[in-house]
Amino acid sequence: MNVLSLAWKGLRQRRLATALTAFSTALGVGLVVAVGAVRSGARTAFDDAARGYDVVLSGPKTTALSATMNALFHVDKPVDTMPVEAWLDARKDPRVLHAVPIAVGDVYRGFRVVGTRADLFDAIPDADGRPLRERVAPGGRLFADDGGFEAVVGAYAAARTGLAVGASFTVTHGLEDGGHAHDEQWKVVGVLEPTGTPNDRAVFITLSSFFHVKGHDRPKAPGAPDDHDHDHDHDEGGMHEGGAAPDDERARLLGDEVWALSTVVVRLKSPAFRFQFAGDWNRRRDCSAAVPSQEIRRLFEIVQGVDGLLRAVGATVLLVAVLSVLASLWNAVQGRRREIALLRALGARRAHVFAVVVLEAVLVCALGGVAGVAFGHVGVAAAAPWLLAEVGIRIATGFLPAAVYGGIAGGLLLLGLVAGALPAWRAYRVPVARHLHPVD
Amino acid sequence: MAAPVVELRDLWRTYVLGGHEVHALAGVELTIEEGAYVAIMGPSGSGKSTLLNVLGLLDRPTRGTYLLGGRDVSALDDDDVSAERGRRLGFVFQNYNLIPQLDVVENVEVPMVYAGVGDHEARERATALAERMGLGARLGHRPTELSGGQQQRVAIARALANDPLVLLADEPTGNLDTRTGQEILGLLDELHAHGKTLVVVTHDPGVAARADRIVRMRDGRVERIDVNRPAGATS
Ligand SMILES: Nc1ncnc2c1ncn2[C@@H]1O[C@H](COP(=O)(O)OP(=O)(O)OP(=O)(O)O)[C@@H](O)[C@H]1O
Ligand SMILES: [Mg+2]
Repeated sequence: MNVLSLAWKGLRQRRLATALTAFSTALGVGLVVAVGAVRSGARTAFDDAARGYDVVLSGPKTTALSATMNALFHVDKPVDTMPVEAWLDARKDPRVLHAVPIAVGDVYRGFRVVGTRADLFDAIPDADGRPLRERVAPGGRLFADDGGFEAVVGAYAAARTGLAVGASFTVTHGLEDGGHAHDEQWKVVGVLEPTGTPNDRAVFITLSSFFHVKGHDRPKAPGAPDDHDHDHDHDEGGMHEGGAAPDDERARLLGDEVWALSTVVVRLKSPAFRFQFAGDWNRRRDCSAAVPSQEIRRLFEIVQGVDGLLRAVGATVLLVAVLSVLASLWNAVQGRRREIALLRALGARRAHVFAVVVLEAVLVCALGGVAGVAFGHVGVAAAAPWLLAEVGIRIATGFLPAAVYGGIAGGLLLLGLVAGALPAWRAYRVPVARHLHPVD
Repeated sequence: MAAPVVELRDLWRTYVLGGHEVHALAGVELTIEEGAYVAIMGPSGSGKSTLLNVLGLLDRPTRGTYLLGGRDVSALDDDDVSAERGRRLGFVFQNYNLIPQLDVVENVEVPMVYAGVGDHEARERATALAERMGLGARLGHRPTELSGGQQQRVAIARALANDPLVLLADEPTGNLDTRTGQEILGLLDELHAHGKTLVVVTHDPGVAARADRIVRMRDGRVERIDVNRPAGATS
């Protein structure tokens, strides 16, 4: 037995108060841990989602954030469209590995229908870095660019809608629910395995089929004349390298139906070209270029405000917890003056008595801390499937860097010392004789 | 003649109550030799408990000298007083004052924890003492699981933990029935027979009769000392 075990036995004596104060400490710690874990997990998840999307091109009036939200996360209002010619030019830029056109505007049971070309599945990897082409679930395949009304469905969208290989479906016009249904039917030829990115929530169809739909009227492509007359006026952007006449190429690649694109996802030969490339393309009048990784960084700078708020809530809960530790110990010292006097009679120094009370506070905080870290992780683990379902981001549920736990431990030690000091001072001053011989 | 263990010279303990001075001890002169068995008696309010508190270093005299084992302890600082209490004095209280969350052996260990005795030795000594007090079958029990007499045995074992110079007891049989009280007094007799110095405060003449000497207090002074047996003699 030693001074520490005496403190521990004192705590066990007051199980309920100890449990309650430790619990309130745990809540505060849990909140801080959960906020930290979700934040770092979300950061990782967003960074994963941005893989492969070096630059996103869109119409000139589209903001960079909106382009990112549309192309990567399949959310946000429709973008300003861009002319097909810009895509043709982008394909020829020597820095470009893949330039994939995307057209959106329809939904299937709440999931975005993304008209695109098959090289999207080469350009974009899953959260672990494997190209989507390798992530087609057994029994399925990708569509070919001239594959007609074929669809490849993301894992989550497939699971929620029941779409499987061989199934047929029709889509609804408009990105909000409640639009009118198109008559055309698509056939599912492949389902993707879960990728841990928002692409799990997308229904991919061939770009050409997207534009075959009645009601997808020719949108007015910005920079393109109202009645498009196949001359070369649209080359004024200056990025066009010449060579083959673009309209021949366009007819070969897309057919005549495709008039305007929502976005073009650009995978560069090196991420190092991102800003240079985006800068060059932003100089064109018919499109704008966004660097998603930068938009995500900006987004997180905004989110940091919310983050700070949650942290403040966590800190407040912790403060209340510390006050409850303090109050509980203060009362305990009041109730145990006789025991304290007794320990003093048995040879305990004032410093011993002080230390026992402070130790009790530190132990309560330590208990709360361990429970709180557990709460936090369990909470994150519980929230992760929900986040994956609702937002399409996969939160890492593993442990935080050791330094975080070190910081929590240090902080709690400090809080325990502070919470214990006042009651300990009270214990320190208990007069011995009076409390051993209550005046009777 | 045996060496004095306790020497009190002109010892005062004065309380101030509403600007009024109360002399709980008013110039006590007392010498207790090693191996003595001393009973302190006197009417209520005569200063018995105050005297025992001062002897036990639980309370400080207002003035006067207190030599414990030849060392002047009247002016020690608080840490030294705590150390003296834990190592050289043992206490037995009327209401046992055991620590409820500790078992028998752990209760006996407490003074050793504070005296810095090692874990292993403390456990051995505590076990041996508890067994000597007849608690061999109760070593892992909590105070609430023990009878009053058993609790007082634990308290005596605890008081002996650091082999103190003096064992101080305040009405040790006050809460016990006659038979159990007799058993506890028998234990004290046995300790006395082994040479332990005992000081017992009591109202009970039957308890006092077992001591060698009876110190009679009145108004904060030693009124007289009755000798039952020659000092140091064992019965
Ligand atoms: N803390 C205190 N404050 C003020 N006066 C006190 C205090 N403790 C004791 N006294 C007074 O000192 C005197 C001696 O008290 P003490 O308790 O020593 O008597 P006692 O002989 O033990 O009495 P009893 O037989 O009733 O236990 C009494 O007049 C008492 O009122
Ligand atoms: Mg008394």
